[in-house]
Amino acid sequence: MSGLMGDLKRFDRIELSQVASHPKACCEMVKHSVFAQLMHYGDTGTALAAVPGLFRWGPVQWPAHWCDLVDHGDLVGDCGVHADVAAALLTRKSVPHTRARAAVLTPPMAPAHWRAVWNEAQVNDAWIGRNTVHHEVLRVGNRWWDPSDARWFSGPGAHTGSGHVLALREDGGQWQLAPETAAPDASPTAHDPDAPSKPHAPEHPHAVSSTHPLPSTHALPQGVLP
Amino acid sequence: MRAAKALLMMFGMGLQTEHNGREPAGASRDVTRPEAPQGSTPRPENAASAGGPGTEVGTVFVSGMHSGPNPSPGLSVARSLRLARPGLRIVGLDYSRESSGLHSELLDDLVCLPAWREAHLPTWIEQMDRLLEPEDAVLIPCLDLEVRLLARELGSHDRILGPSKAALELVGKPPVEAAERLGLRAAEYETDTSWEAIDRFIRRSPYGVWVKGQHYDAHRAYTAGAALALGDVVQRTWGGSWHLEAHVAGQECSIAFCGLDGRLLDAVFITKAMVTTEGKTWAGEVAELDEAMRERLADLVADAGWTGAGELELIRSWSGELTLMEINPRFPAWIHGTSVCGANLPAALVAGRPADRGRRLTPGFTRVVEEIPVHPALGITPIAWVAGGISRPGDKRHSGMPSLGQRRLLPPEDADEPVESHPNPGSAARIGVAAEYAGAGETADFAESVETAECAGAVGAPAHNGMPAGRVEGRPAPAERPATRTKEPAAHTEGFERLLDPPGNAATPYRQVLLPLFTERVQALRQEVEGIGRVLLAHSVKTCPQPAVLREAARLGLAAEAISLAELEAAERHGMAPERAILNGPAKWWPATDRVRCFAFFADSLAELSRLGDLLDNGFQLEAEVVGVRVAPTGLISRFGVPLHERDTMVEAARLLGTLADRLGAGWGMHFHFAQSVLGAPRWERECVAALSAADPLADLLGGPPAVLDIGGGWHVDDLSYLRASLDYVRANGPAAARDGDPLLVMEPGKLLTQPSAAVVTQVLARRASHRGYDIVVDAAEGDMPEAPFHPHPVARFDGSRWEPLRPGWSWILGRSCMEHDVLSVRLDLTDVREGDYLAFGMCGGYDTSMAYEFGRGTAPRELGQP
Repeated sequence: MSGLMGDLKRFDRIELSQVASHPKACCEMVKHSVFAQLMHYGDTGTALAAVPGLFRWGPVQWPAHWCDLVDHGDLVGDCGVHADVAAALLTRKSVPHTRARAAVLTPPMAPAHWRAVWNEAQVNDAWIGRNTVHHEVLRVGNRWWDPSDARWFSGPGAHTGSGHVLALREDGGQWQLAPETAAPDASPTAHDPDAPSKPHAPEHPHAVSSTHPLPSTHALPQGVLP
Repeated sequence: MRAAKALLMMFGMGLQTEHNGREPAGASRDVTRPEAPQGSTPRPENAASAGGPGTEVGTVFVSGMHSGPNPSPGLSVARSLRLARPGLRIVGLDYSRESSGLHSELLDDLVCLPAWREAHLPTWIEQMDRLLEPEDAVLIPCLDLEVRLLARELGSHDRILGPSKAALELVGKPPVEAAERLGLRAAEYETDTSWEAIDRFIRRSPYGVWVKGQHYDAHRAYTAGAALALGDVVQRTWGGSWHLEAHVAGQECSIAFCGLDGRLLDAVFITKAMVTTEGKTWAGEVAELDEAMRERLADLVADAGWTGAGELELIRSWSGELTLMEINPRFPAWIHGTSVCGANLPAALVAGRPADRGRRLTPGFTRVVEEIPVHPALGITPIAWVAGGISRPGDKRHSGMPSLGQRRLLPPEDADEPVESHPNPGSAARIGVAAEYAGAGETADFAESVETAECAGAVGAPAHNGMPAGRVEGRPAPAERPATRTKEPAAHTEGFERLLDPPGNAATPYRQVLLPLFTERVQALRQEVEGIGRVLLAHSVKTCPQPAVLREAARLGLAAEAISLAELEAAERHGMAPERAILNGPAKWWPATDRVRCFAFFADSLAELSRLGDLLDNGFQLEAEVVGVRVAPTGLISRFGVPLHERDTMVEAARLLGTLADRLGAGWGMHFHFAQSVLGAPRWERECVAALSAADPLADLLGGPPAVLDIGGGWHVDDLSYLRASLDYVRANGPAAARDGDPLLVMEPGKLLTQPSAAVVTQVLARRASHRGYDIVVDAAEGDMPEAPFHPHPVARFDGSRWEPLRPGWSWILGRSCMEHDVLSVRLDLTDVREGDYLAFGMCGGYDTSMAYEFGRGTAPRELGQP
């Protein structure tokens, strides 16, 4: 448990990803290309599913601009890019949502691959914790959306294509732990000056305000107990 | 309890990774079974001997754990090992945590590696090496691509029970050499994936073809368009090259085998008894190999120095002969079926000992569906959302193997071959969304692409789900012919440029008639039918009504075959006598007139025969020596002809024909017509014989043999050399009336004569870069070449002094119109082509000429008047 708590403290120091934009054509062109390929889908789920298909999963050096995401003609993105693009899509479609982060327990031999790929690209691998990995997700109504896997999941304790979700934290909220893990002994909020961080977003433009009630279609799926 | 332990173990492994940088094997699955510590797995007391230098196998890693309708073999192998060695430590290894077999309680441990789109190759090599560090550990790789990657990256590893790179080369696809060594037939195949070659191969393959990936996968196709589209899907999904193999009709069988260092340990034969909709084995009859086969297999295993498992996929013909379709370098997914019958090959492989030759096998096995709870440590999650054209690579299926294929870690065997492939225009129009226009180089959803690509080829598919199996009377069925790669020149799709005039000042696009090619074809046809008896050759006016061609046809003594009175009149105007002409088609009496003279006409329906009677009653004057009917094919869906295989229809046809013939003082005849270019010669022959066999009972009903048998149907321009054989087949196997009654044989091969007789000359308007290289836009359009999507046209470029054929490449020639499907040619090297250059398309003399239409010129249909 202390290992998980350590990871959570570490993950708290990673800013939720926001792709920045140069005020020039270099970024505007990429951004236009991305959303032109996503917005033509009539169905929100389909458009969201296209996000990880559009961005080949791979290392991104943060802070990142849109023009940085192009690699030899392909778009590359990590879960932060997927989450940021998915959030922008939801905003354009007027679907209330909140950015969130997850601590995911992955198969034990996988992190070595990711670390090697990130190191080869000379990109910081702070998202790979001691026991879990930091993964960006979205809260939509009472459900959670994994933007890299294009799936709903039910919350802490659920499984996604990436692994077992041991903890979740909505932007501005507290960590929610999976039922099978014990309660945290302290809130992991201390700052570690050595930890690399992404540029901090002063306020999250996509956060759901308390004055913005969720439409019933984004609550729990019909017929399912919370 | 199990869940909690497994979860903690996964935590523990993570910590270990962080501290010492070493990777563990994985998390324990069973808290009641002590987990072997990393690097020092204790050797179970009852572990088998590996057959090596005195080391017993204590741990077996088995990869490929997905168990669904199209399962990987891993779980089946694990079950077999557990059956033989209850104390063995079995570790399931996979590249997708969603592979369902990982949930099985049978496994002691799991190794879940990242999907290949996330994997780091050197790390994978290091991890595999480390997994196999313990002396008593071995790996049985069960995934085709993984086997090949292991052979390439880890070489001949003592603890990998898989074949070496050299051994794999011996059994590569198509397995011609292996088949020869095994004394088996091999299916005919074609590795040239040009449109022309595929089109030709499919016409020679009466049961359709299989589009096979170099490493994995096979899909059935019946048309060139479908084959190209499916090849594209296979290449994008699995990497490597692809080729075609002719479908072989018969029973599906397999031989599973295993060997160690070139020694055959065990082998077993199964005949499939039940398959899934994907063709995967569900039940099978199990038998021992006969001695001869066992010896040949042992020799092959020895020559290859084979280690590991393998599967020979076979087809057994009706007469019992076996054709080798392919060799898989791993156990088949049904291997546990033979284990429960007494032939436990995985156990023999791990033990390194030959099987007991005196064993008695249970006669067969079947699968049953079983539901199990998911392992809490792995959990389960609902299906991911999928975006139509750009879904994620198929990590979730096939134990994550598609994403390994897409990494292109295993290059095609022919390294010079371009990796990218593109569909022909026809398939592009139909599957474009799925494959070509998926966007940003992303892979289209696999299943969707396959489904769409398969639909693209529906035209040539048989009316029923398959063709009749077995031997064709009268000559060997194609499956029984010598098995080799088919290689024959495309005799008449090239060389047209030698007859082309240099481009002058005429406005492009224009059409140049190449009359010598028409003359040459007619003369060649005449030679083909020499000695057959009474034969009348006919020119199908609809394929090319150019006056010059009609005059030449008249000069060469061809009869006119017309499908309207307008065509009949045009033919007569250019010298083709109406008393030798034949009227066909569903609306041959158009435009209406009160008098018609012809040699023969063939009614397309019984209603037409009845109506003719009425017309005659009302004063219509008809002179004809022969009245007949067009016979509908029996095994194909067709909008044309009278189904004489239906008894009542035949009786009514006889009554109407007899009445009309008496009234006109004419003889009677029959007509069979179906596009040979679609069916290929063997299928066309069979359909023709089946249809014309109605002549015998009809002769009984009418009291005499037919005066005329008229056969034809759009023969492919390359198939003139097959025509005589087809006619001989029809005469030998067709109705007795065709042999004994000495009817006149009318032969009208349609576009076979006319297709080479014209070229379209065009000019390049624009040249532009594309992801294929360069594409060009010309001033011709689909209206000038309406057949462009349906058959390849050779293209030549005028280099200033002469016309030179364009070489194959990847670029496209686009028509000037603004229709998405206006693509005139594909797969050409257009590197040297510039704006203003003249290009010429050959093979435009058939329907490309007669069906050309004004489009994109600002003109209106003539019925509406010109602007």
